[in-house]
Amino acid sequence: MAAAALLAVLVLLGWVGWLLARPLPRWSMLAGALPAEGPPAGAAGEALVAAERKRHLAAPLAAGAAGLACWWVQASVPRLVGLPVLIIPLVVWSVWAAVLALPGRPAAPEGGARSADLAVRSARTLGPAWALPLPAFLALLVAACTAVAGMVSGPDESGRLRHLEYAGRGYELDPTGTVVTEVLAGQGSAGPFPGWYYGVPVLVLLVAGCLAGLGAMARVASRPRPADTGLWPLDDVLRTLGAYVITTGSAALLSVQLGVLGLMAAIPLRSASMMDNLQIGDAWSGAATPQGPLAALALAVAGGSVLLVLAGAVLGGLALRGTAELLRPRRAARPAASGSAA
Amino acid sequence: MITVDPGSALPPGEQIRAQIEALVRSGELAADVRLPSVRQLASDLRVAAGTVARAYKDLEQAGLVRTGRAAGTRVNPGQALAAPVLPEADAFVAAARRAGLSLQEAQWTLASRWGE
Repeated sequence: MAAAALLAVLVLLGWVGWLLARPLPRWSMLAGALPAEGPPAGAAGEALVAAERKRHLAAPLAAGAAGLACWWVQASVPRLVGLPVLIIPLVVWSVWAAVLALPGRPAAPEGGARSADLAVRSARTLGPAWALPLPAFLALLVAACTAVAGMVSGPDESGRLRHLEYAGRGYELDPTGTVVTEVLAGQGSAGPFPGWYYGVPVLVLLVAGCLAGLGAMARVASRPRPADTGLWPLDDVLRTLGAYVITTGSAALLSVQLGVLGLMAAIPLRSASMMDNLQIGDAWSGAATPQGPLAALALAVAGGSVLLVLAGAVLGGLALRGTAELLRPRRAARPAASGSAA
Repeated sequence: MITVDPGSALPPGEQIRAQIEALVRSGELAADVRLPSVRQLASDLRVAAGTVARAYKDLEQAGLVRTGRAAGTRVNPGQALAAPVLPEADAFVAAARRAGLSLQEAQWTLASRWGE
């Protein structure tokens, strides 16, 4: 299991490394695709960019507010024992993607001929080949790890499934306290562990986030072409950048969520591995040390989780760069571009 | 690219059907190429989805395209006109454009000679 978890994390890191080597869609693409100044194409182009800017500004603001609300809920209701804070990445992802998925204002009806190209646009045709597989792979990992953690979880003192149960051993010692005289088999538990108490909200939010993310991609794909065919190159760039931001941001938040869940699981796993496998007559050292397969698993999960959080931070940086490309104000006076509005 | 002109005497669905048929017959839309979804094309052309769906249905009945549940609407193989016709068609289009004819006027011209 430890090997499988490490392998999955290494695959992910390889993927992120490959991503970093890929060129990012640049604002220069956007600026170059804008038509020459002046109505009607210039004004329509600016309106098209402004609509996307508004959306990509509102989405992070709403998501940030949702994240802060989670902190506030945890501070106000401590008996939730960290649940609102644990699910912040998924809450932020769901709200952010849902705002990006909101339908735009319908275009005012205009007279004149309407054109359409016959190229298929869908969530799968936007952006690079990894655009959907990377977040889908991460979402599956989150679901699988949450389900496994839920299945091995046990109740805490108030009955909530947020502890890790394990077979424990106790020792009776001689009067000097140095030699084991009796081995007692027992049951131990350590927490907080991402059991069903945390896992069910995680899975619900995962489904909500997936639906919102797919909705956001579908909106990018299905938004109607501008009436002016001269704006189509600009339209293509806006779609490319939008899809890039959505897929990279989704992968970032899922990666961080997986890392946080892993770190949460690693601590009780290490506690469960703190067992001396002593027999009657053995000397008692007084200090238990992590050992056995659980200790290796705890180490692998902790290491993998740190790497996942780092990968999430890198992906998040890429998504922010993409958003910045969309939000950055355009240089005002470009020399009249020849043929860009044709 | 296809265009729907609200000022045309032809209804939008017929304009869509005729233009896609022309692209298939000319070979510009190759065999097995997938056409956009009804919703995408309707939204881009600002026409009702039913209008595009009807045009696709007509193309399917004419054997030009096929529609599968998952594969979408795709161009059937063997629908492009034989290559020898295309140069003449290109020449006719060039002459019609030089004369300032619209697509409809060019089509009428062709239709008037068709029966001879």
